[in-house]
Amino acid sequence: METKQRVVVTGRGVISPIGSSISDYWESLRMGVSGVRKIIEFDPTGSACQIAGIVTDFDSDAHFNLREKKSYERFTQFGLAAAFQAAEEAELQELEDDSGEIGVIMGTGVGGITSYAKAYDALFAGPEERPIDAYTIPRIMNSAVSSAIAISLGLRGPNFTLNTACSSGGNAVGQAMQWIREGRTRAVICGGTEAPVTYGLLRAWDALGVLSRKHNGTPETACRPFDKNRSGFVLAEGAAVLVLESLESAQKRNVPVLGEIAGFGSNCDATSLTNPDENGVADAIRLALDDAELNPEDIGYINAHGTGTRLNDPLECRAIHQIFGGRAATLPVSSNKSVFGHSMGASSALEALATLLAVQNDCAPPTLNCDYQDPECAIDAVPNNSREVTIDAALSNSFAFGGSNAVLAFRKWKP
Amino acid sequence: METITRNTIEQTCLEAIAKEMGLKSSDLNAEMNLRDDLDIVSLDAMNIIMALEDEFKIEADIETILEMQKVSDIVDHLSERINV
Repeated sequence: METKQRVVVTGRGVISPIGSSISDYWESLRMGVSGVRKIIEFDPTGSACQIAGIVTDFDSDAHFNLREKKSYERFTQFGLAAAFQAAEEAELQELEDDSGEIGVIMGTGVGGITSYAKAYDALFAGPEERPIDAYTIPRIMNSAVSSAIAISLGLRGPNFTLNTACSSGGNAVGQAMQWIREGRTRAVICGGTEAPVTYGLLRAWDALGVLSRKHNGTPETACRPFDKNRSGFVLAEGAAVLVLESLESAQKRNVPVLGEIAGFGSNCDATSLTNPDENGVADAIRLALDDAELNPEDIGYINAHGTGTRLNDPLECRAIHQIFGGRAATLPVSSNKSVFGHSMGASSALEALATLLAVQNDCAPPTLNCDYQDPECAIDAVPNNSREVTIDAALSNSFAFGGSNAVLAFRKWKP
Repeated sequence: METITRNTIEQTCLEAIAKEMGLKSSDLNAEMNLRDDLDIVSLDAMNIIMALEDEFKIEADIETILEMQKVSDIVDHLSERINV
């Protein structure tokens, strides 16, 4: 059997509602410090859910000049800022990329929706004679983020932005790993970014009945994955970026290896646009384990999709039981969405980063607000407090409307 | 109705450029080069042209303006269009 090229992580970056540096992000996750708060950026009246996970420490002026701010929508700015962090940690500036050996692949669900909303609001309701300016198209392009990263860092390899709804970032990271394994690139900047908190999108998700409506007064308690009283998720924004690199390249450059990405399970339920399928989800987990050449007993932690909706959580737990059998009840499984909400296409990248950090730190971050665990969610949800536990390998589960599942397997770096 | 003079057009041009480029109009003059001195690229130029079209209620020749070098070239073009 042909030996797979080993792929490692050499850079990490994050912009999130719970911190915009790796240390702040991990500390907030570990301590369970919520990033969910009342929406004040616009009047949410009309939506039963009026809270979201908002990035509050992002200073656009610190990163971008006037032209860049005119050109780059909020989701692009998040993705770029996270990519800058990751590239700096990976010391990518040392690499000349005239040969096109470094690629970029980013995931986003709704891309430039803020500029769409602004343009249409002004076009149909505003007093301005010229509501739409010449920068509208570059701002709303979903692919602006991967292009902007390549332009800023001079990366001439393959360049994609992909969309598989809420698993976009996970599929981007997995695809990046495949490019490196195939020898198509020596390194890839990959991840997900999203800035979806607009009035229109809030109303649209609210209309689906999947947003938490009962906790507007106590936003930090709103998202309650695996809890009996869960009532849905909250929208969020943010970005996470990893630099993946062939082990050979990282060793040649003598840069620190932060972890190994060992497997990727990507599939489609092929059953429904909106309802997940237990067997499809279980198959994705199995595919990731097989790809990583790991056995279920090798896994020390699962970072759950864990939306906190009535439908998702028990289904995900049943899928975990399908694969892990009797061990599923005692395997630590937690949901970061309880801490910072659901950032659509970025969530799977943020959670992949959290999974890597859990492996690096031998610590399972908690599921917040899991006060009264639902018996239908028979897993160890790491309720409310993080747990020190040896994690040699871990999975990051991400599922999506459309049935597009992406499961990533990370392994502790051992030379 | 206020009479439109070449000076009015020049001042309006400088203000439109200043607004689009985040500059002070008092720091600009008509002899400045659009690209070398003011860093105006085509998308900025389109926004500036749209603002001037609205201001003077005319339709500018976009391709001609995009080829112009200096602020004074735009002023000349607009003066001609407005029959100043």
